[in-house]
Amino acid sequence: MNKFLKYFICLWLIAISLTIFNVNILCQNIKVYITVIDSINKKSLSGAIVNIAESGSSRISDNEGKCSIFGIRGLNVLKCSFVGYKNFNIPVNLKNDTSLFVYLIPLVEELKEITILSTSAEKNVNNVQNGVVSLNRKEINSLPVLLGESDFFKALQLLPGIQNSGEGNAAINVRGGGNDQNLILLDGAVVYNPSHLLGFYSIFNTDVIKDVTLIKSGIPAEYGNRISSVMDFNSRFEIPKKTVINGNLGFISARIAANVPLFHDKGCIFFAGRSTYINLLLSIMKKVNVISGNSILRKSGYNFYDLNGGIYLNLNKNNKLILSVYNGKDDFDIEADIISLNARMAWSNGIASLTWNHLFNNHFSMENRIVKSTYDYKMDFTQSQYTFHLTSNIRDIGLKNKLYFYSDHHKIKFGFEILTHRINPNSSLLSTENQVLTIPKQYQYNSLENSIYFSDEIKLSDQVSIVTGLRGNSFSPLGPYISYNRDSEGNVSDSTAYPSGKIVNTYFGFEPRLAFRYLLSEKNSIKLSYNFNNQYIHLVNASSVSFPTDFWIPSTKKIKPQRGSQISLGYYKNFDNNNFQTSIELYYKNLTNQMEFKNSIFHVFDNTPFDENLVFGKGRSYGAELLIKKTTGRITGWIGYTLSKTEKSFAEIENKHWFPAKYDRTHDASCVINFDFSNKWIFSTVFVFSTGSAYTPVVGRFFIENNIVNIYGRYNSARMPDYHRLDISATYIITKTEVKDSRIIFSIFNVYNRQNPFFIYPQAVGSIFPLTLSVHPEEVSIFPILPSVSWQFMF
Amino acid sequence: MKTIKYYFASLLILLLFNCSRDLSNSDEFKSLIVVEGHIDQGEYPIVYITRNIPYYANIDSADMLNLVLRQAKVVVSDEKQSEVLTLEFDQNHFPPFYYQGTEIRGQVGKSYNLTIIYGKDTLTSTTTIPPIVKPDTAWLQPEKDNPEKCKLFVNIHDDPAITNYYRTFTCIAGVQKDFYPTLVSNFKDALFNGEVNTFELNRGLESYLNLSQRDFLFDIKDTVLLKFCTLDEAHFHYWQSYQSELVNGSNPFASSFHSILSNIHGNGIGIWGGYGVTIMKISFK
Repeated sequence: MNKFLKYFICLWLIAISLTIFNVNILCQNIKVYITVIDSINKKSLSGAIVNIAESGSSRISDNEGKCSIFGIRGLNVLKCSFVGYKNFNIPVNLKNDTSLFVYLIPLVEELKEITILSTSAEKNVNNVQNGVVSLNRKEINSLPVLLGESDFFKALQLLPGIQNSGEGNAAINVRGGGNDQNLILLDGAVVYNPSHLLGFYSIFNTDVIKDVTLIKSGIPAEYGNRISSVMDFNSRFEIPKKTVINGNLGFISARIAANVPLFHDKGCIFFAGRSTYINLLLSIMKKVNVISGNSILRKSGYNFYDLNGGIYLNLNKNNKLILSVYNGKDDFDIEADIISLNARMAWSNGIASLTWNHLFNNHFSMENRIVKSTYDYKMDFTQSQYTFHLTSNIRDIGLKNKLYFYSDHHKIKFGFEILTHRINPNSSLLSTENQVLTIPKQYQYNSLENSIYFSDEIKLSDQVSIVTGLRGNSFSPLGPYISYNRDSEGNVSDSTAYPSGKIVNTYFGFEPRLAFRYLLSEKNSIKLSYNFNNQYIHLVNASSVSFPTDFWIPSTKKIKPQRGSQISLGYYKNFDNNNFQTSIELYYKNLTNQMEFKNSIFHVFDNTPFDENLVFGKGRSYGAELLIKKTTGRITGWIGYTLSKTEKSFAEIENKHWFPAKYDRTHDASCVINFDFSNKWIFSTVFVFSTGSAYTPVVGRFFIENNIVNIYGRYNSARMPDYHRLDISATYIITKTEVKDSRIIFSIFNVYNRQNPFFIYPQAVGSIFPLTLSVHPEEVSIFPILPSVSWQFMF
Repeated sequence: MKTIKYYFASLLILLLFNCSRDLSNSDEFKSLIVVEGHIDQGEYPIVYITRNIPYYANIDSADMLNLVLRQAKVVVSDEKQSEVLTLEFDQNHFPPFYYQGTEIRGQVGKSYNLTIIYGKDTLTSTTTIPPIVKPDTAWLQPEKDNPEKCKLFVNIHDDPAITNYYRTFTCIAGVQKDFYPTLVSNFKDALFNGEVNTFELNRGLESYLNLSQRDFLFDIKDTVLLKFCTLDEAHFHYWQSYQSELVNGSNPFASSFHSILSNIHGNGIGIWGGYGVTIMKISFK
């Protein structure tokens, strides 16, 4: 590692030296600092192409719509173009270095044609980072919907390298990483459980979210504490001319959002809400006797809601203030009289982020964020006289600072983050009417996470650009904490108590990041990236399906941070005037300090702390991803394919032999086609295929004390049936203008009614006395063919 | 455009590999001799011997009886003596055939060896009988809402100097023909080490199959026999893993992927365990 770091630092210094030298040569020209802005909503435009023919200089605007370009002294013609906007073309007389704001006018009539990213057509080739995917709400809305709800998470799963966790599961696995190894951010605050409706939907309301950027490799230094990927969701903060209301009336849920301008177009305030009416539908079905008296649905119910809100204020030309809040909850109860079971599960997320953007000058800006994330999970499980009550909760509060310096050949980002975590992983109560046992003792973990980072995107030449970065972080578990020492029998022999706020121990992380791009031509490039990350918060999988019974736990004295490194190589090529964009990416990921829960959630009579119920091992993942994307014309879409292998190795499981991870997918393919049939009709279809999830099979059974006991085979050595599904949708556009939109979406999910299994479990039927006993594998599927109609509107 | 064709051709080739393999390894099954044996303090040893079966095997009642091994040589020994157990029959138990001794009785603090010879297989195991912990009191308490039904409460005084492992069974006199483990029958004293503790026990169940048809409570008229046992650590861990498997084995909300533990050496699985036993007779007064 030390050797690598020496090379890394040398490379970094050489790159900076080269760049400084390069700048000195070029500074003879006159520099023009450009900011590209949407003339309607005043938002900056990323990916616009700016050029001055006189100097032959051409640039692409960055995430803040900025770029700088060289001109010659005297008259120049400045050109700016961006997909979906009228071309900008104006003569400028340059005498000294100057700054210009370019306001682009949207081509409203053409916007509806755009279904693929409205960024620069060559951005996929030009971007220095590989493994980066962005999706905006236009793309999401063009995909077939599930029960009337479009979903960002489901859409991300259609891209190569991103695997779903099976039927009815919102979890995403990126390049063989665990579900917890994705840093999911909503306006900078961490989201711990993004699932709604037992994972069928995500919490990200498409009326609220502007776009999501998924980073699969070469994770920039500004992101930390996750080792596989980043999913950065951003809310829409667009200042409308007048109040805009939009919403959706779907099969089982509805949503509505309002965006109101404030202070004469100086800001806006928005509200959005979404709720299901499953309980209402169930009560109607009960009344008309659609649900039989014995059905488990008779006394069951489900409710979820989302509330989003935000304020965006342009205080002046150099200061912006943004407040974003979210609260959502799921509440699920089931009563099965036949087995005397009454279970209730509820979980909720709370997010708040306050952002202050300050522009020092055209080259230097700052972003400060105060973030808060909460997550609560509760489960009550009553069977006969016993009640099992389980709670888990998280509260994060933090400050994030980012400074951004921009010049012709450098894009420098640096900053710091301070985060406090308070995590109660899993408190269990087992009670009867007269007695309550708290098992295990209620352990609450407090911790402090500090990070500093620096990154620089350096343009070494027209062909070569690199991004270098370093992130340093520390993670300290804090008191109150009791560290136990145990004897050979597992009994406590000694303990050390740490008072509230006292540091128990500190983990330090040093994370190099590197990305390299070589432009072979305007239309093709090679990219290479490397990243090393630490992760201090972990999700323990307590169930065989990814239900909310999985719980989060921080690194402690006994739980070391997860560590992951990834190297990725990609080749990108565009054809037919960028109409076809293609890429092949190869990756290898190495993971250490991976954990598995050796107990079970219902292993109630064990009072050891949770960090003593974990086993630790390592993991690796490697694969190839292919993407072919058609971006323009009446037919657009993409085909994605991933060939991969993800394995783990634990001393306590299979004696260190490599075994497949639960979410290992040998093959994962998706095909998305959108067809703009006419001004009134749009058709789309999605087909997905993936190798079935790995699971541990039961290979035998025996009888002890009149009960059946299973014998398990090799860990994760069996596969569920392959997952495949076809969805189609047709959108009828009733009205479509700049200020009004009304459309009806007809959708069929799982067209050929594929019974993709949710889980498989051994079902024993019969009794010992008399001997009439059989055991068979029971496959449970959730989604049959599901047609739906929804109405989407905006006015 | 030529290059595009190559891309599509490559994709087609990759998709052709998309024939998923069935990795279900029913051939992973290994035939094992299953041992369920115990020696109680003051009692003769009892050993049940069966075979395991493949998970996907179709079996009927006759097949199930064929799982019982009736020609094994079963030897129990302590430091001083050894005896070969004889085959007995009990139609109220599965398996209905079992091996029982007539000479060696369990004693607190002693170790007992088990040797089973069946064909070419020889299985061995060792267990101990730990000191007895006698409950202070035990009583039946009627339910508030249903005074015809009772719960059983036990009060014990635990010795903080040693780690104790407990297992509980009940038998309703005149109704049940054997002792059956209570719903959560297995626990250690870490929860209440060194304290006087009162806890509640359910009625022992004949089987965990069809739980909905079982009654967890005692009738007010029942005379309950409580078998309160101490056991050694290996014995405890076996039943702990067994208990976990019964609760989690068919539960998709929980994880279960470990076969239960065993203290049987050789081509076998199961348990040979000693119990320090206290039996109490309780009725509602």
